[in-house]
Amino acid sequence: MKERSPGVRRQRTAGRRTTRPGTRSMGKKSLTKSSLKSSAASRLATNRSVLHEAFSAGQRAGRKALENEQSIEQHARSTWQEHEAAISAELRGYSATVQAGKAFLQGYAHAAGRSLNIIPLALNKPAAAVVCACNEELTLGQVLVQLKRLPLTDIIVVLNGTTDNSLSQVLEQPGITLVYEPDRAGHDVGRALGAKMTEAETLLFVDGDMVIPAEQLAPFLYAVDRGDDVALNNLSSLLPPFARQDEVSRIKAYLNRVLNRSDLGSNSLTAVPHALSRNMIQTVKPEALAVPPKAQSLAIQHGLKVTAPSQVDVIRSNRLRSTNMGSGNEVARLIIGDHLEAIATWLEMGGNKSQARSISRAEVAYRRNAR
Amino acid sequence: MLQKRGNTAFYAAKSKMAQRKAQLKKRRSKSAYKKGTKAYKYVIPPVEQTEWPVFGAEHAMRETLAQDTTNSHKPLLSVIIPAMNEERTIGAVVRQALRICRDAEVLVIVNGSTDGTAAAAKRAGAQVLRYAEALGHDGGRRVGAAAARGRVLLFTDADIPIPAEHLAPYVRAILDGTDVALNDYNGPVARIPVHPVVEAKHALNSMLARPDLQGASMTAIPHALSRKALEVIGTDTLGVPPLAHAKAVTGGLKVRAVHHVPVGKMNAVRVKKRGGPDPLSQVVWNDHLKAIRWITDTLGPRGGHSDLQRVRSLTR
Repeated sequence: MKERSPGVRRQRTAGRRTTRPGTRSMGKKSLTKSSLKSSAASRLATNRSVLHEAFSAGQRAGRKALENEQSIEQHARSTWQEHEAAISAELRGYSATVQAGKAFLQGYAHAAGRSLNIIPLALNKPAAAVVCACNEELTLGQVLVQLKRLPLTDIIVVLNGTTDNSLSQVLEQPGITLVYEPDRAGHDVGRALGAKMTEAETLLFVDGDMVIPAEQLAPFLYAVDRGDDVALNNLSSLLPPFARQDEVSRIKAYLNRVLNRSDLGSNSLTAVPHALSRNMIQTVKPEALAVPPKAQSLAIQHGLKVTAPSQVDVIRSNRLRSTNMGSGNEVARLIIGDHLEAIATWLEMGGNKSQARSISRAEVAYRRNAR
Repeated sequence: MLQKRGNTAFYAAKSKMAQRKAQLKKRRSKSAYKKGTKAYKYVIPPVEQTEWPVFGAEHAMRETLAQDTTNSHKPLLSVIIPAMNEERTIGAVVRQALRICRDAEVLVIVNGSTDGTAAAAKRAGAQVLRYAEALGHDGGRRVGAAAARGRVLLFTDADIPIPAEHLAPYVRAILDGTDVALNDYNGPVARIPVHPVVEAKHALNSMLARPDLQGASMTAIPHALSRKALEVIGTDTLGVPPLAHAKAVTGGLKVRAVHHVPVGKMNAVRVKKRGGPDPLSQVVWNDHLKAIRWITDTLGPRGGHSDLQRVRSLTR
């Protein structure tokens, strides 16, 4: 852990004291409590009644849990689903929904007398997850455990070219669809294969080599469930300024600018996690998913809703391999080729029509140099 | 004024005191400054270009020298300068261009001008090609390259007087075997958000598998070409610099960023003077897209990049 210098810390606390004089009178306890909660603290105050309601609804449901036959997680989820549908008009945005869900779950756990390790996420459409893995015996089990905490109808694991214990890791877990491919096919091909295996409306894509807490995966499911077609991992704030970026990040940003979506920055389907809607997969065809930037450009060209709702730091935790380090490595070349392919298809479909009507060189010369 | 430090040009940031001192010194030594011969420190020495007749009676030599003055002689260097309404700066630019090398022709392509650009260029000692209509920077370069006879073609602009010492490295590089010598200038990379053209230049170099070139491009001046480069690229393609850049790299030419001249700093004044977005940047940005289209058309949709272990047939 990196230690912060004491001077800086003093400055920061001092600044907070002066900007928020109201908190001082409330004492130290309330200060820590409010800082624990999310940035939506101000919005939360207005929703307090909703949260109370959710909590008591959770308690009511929790009391019934004991006499219920089905698994307690299942019951908690379905009751929250019902309650969420009732109060959905009052919940705005993901964070409010999650707050209410947490309150409900707290009430539920309080009444049922045991804690539940699930994410209170109410989805309107069936959702599935696709895990693409190669030799990931160390992390795959944990990845699946995290996915189990989400309200998914199906979890599809695509194993390709496995030579280690990954297969038995998957078989240990119940309720998983396994796609086994003896030879290496590539991550993107694996994702495309997995997408073809399910009929779910929302698809979440993760990699087997990185354990991401379910809390961080939920926003992607939520975004696609509520109408987005592509929910990308928002890495914008993690990237250094342009001068220090690697060529892959630069080319991703360039593609987005070509597609007239420079607001997306360097966010790309190449990065996991991301979620897609069934509508999107049918529009671009599952084959296109094998080349993620191509799928992205097709989605944008077809007018689908592409957003980057949440951030998961995959840059720092990504496993370093000999092939993905440094500039000019094999993976970088592959990704650059993908982007070229994406731009090529975009141009073929007449994508640059909007930009083609720019002025001629002579006209530019007259504008700049005429007197 | 530009200073040369190592392989990079800097602006001298002098304090007022230092400036005053320098002025005083200049005034004191003015006569000596005027009298002194020119120091050809960085420029090409004259030994390079003239091949003396092997078997030379004085008569024969005089004949070759006489031939030199006629059109049949091919100069070592052609400096190509497109100019449009640039009478204030063209004189200085031409004078600097003439200093690079004694065996040089300086072509000024005066296009769409309504002021005394042509006269000023001629006075400074350049050959002038006149066009009534505006050609644009790239059009002017294309026309100039078609007319040039030199072994080395150096392209620069009429609005920035770059000292000969900073133009010579490009010519030097070509004489040493490089085919395309580019300005080692990446554009304003530190600006946030980054300029679209800077982004496009970097992306194009990545797509050409030359990330080491970073933002260097044939869009920026000064740059120099060898005769071989001109043949591979084609004179007409020079009208679309990013496309010429792509052709040069894929054509197996030796493309190198040889010397840094901060041209962005030098014409910043002009950009500020005109309000609104620069119409040129949109044109340049579209040029890059044209270059990418050419890459995907000639080298296949992946531009020659590998597919690694991807088994695409599985997804069908």
